[in-house]
Amino acid sequence: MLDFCGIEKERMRARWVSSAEAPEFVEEINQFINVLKKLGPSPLSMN
Amino acid sequence: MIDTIKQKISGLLSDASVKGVVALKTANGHVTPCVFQKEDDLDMLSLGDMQASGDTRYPLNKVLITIARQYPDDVFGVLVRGCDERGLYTLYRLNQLDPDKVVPIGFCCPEELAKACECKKPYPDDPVAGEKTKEIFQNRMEEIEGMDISKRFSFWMDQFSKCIKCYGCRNICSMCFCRECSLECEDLVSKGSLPVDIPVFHLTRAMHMADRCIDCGLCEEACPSDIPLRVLYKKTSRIMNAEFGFTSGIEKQEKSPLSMLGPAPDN
Amino acid sequence: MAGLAASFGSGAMTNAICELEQSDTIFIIGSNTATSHPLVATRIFRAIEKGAKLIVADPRKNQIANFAHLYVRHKPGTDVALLNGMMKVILNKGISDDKFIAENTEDFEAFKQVIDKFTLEEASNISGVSEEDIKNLAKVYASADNASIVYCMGITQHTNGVNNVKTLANLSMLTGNIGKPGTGVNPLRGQNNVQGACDMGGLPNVYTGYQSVTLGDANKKFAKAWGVETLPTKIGLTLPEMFSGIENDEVKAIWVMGENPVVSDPDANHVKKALEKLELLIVQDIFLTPTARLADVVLPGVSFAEKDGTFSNTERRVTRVRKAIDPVGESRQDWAIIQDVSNAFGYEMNYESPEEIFDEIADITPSYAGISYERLEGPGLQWPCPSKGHPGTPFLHKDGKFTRGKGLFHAIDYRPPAEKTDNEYPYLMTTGRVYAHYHTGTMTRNSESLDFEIPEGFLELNPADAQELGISDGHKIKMASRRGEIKTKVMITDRVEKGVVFMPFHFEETNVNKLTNPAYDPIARIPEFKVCAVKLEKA
Ligand code: SF4
Ligand code: SF4
Repeated sequence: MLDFCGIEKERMRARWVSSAEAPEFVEEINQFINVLKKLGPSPLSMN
Repeated sequence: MIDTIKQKISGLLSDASVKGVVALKTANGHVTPCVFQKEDDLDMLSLGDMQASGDTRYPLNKVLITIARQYPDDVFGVLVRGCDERGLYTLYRLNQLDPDKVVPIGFCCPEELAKACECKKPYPDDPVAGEKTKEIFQNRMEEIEGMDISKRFSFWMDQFSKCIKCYGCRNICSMCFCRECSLECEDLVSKGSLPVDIPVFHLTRAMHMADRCIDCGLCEEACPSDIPLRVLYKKTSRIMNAEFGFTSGIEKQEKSPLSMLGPAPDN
Repeated sequence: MAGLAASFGSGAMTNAICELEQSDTIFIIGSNTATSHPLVATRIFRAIEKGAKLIVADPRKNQIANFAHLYVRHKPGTDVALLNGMMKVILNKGISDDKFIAENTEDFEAFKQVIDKFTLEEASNISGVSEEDIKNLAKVYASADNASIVYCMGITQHTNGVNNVKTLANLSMLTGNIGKPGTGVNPLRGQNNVQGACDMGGLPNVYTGYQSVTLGDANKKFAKAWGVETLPTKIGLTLPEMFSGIENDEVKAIWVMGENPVVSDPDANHVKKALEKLELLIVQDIFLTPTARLADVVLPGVSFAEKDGTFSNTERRVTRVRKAIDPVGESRQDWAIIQDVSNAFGYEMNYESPEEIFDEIADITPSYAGISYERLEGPGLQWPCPSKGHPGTPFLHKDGKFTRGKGLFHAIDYRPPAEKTDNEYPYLMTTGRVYAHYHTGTMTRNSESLDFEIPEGFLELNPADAQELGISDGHKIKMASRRGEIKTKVMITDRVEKGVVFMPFHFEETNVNKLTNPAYDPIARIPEFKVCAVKLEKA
């Protein structure tokens, strides 16, 4: 739906990470940060 | 056509198989919803739109829900077009109406109207009157999908910014029956300013319609800001269909995949 | 309305609302259309989708301004300067409609002299809009085939409100933008029936259909219809005059129907004192309003759902309203209450129904003459409708044939608002509405869902001003004018520019009208709600 409204779908992601899996959580967030950095500011923030 | 329907309603009322029939009447030059309880009143019966859509359509199912909540033990008839019947099926599925307490009186929409409505099923399964006509496809959704992403973004943002938060889209929708509404939840949609939170307001509604919307188009007709809401909900329905093979309101008995517990899809 | 009546001969929207869809240029000034008149805004959105140009001038960047091809922010109370500047450009560039002016209007020369003396530079300095923008506004408006002007209280609620309206009328005549579908000057009226109330003579100087009380002919006609010898030819009191009348002991009793002056009128403290001084205050309303709480006698009237009758809306359309439920509690039909009081005074009235009253209206009101309940089935009729077979009139002044004969140009110089800022009161405050509420909130604030949306008053403040004052969003602020002081919450937003603040007036607890200036327009007697000087302080 985001894509249909013109917002890159990569901006949203859902993953299950257990509270016991701290390193995975960090890895996941870092990856996501990289994705977002590549995409640049969201079109919504420029509105 | 209207005479056949009058006869049918007459029959239902005279042998007391229903307590009343939710339909439309013409009075004072206007068409309004009405619960017919006496055969004599049937001269006022109206079927609403016959050529163009939008002037005289009402969410009769919604009227029926209100009445059924007050008189849970009585049986009522209701006038249904193709879209209304899809609505009934969905409301049965969601336990808002009891199929044993509803007698649908179905009729087919003429081709003209089916075209104007871009209707995917302009007839009920078992019509009392009228000829079944072809389904009509529309490509508004494809047009939008064909735009590049930034154009699509500005298209929707322009549309959403017109919203005046009148809640007309929700209030007219027969599939919107919740007593508490997410659109009025302050944590999701901030209150007190216009334009509303975009795109949150409209996407929240779209997500909630995913397994409900029966593509009747009432919301878009009611929207004072002419926002192409139906296209938005069509997209959610399309996703539901592609992912789960489900379409709201087509099969009478079908369950929604969103109401089943089971293994997570493997992607 | 006085302004339009003087220019064109008729004080109402010149066009039907749906005609706005046919306009190719729409100029909105002093109207928060999307919020206050959403269904008019719908037509404007449709026009834009068909390719129409939208230009908006407003001290506050409201929702509809986001859709404008050109938006300018002028200082509150400088409308005439901005508009005269536009007309200067139009005359200089020779893009006026000279044929239209010559054939259909009068007093053009006197008007032209005023504009000739005025410079674009002055216009820009006074209004705070750049010369470039004024030129563009003028070009877009003047080059349209079917331009419509839409305005509202932002134009009229000033000490020079009538002049503002006349200036808009000048602009439309100068470019021949009047008298065609989708082309004209359109004031948006607030209440669903405020046009109807004026049509029915709810003004001190006229009978129904704007028939003047000072003209002997109308008086004779009405005296005959009402079975009396003579009727007074003196103009009655306007609202501000009533209040000064109370002060000089000339007015001793007031009967208020469906109004809430304690919240809606400027300088509220003063209004309250005046009402308390009356020997007799009667209030007829559907809720116990702050005004009704002061009353000696409260007469419970009925709401729209409990009554039969007609409404006349902003596009002059007369429609039927039908009773859906019986009057609640002790409330009674308003007309029946008036009839009983009249009978008690010894002037007998024996109306059986609203229809009988309507037939009398049609009998003595030329613009309503052709309207009857029978003809009002369905969508209703737009006046003037002078005879039984007449289809009603969607737009006025067809082909430049004005109701008053020729369209009248008015020579109008810019005059500043009554109150200026100074060192003590350095901010300009303007008032208005927000979408969830209506007027003094008598009705909307009784609605749970609407009050949920916006439960309290707030002051809109520019971020730069907020920083200077050291105040942040949501905090309390004390605001005072020369007349009073209130405390309210702050909303920081660049909808308003630096030095200007905005506050909605729906809220009795933070009644901004304790601050507003009762100085009024000399003709229409509308107070200057839209400009007042204030000081701000962290609370
Ligand atoms: S088309 Fe609109 S009104 Fe009809 S079911 Fe879908 S969301 Fe509801
Ligand atoms: S009907 Fe249209 S304007 Fe009203 S809330 Fe829904 S989307 Fe917004």
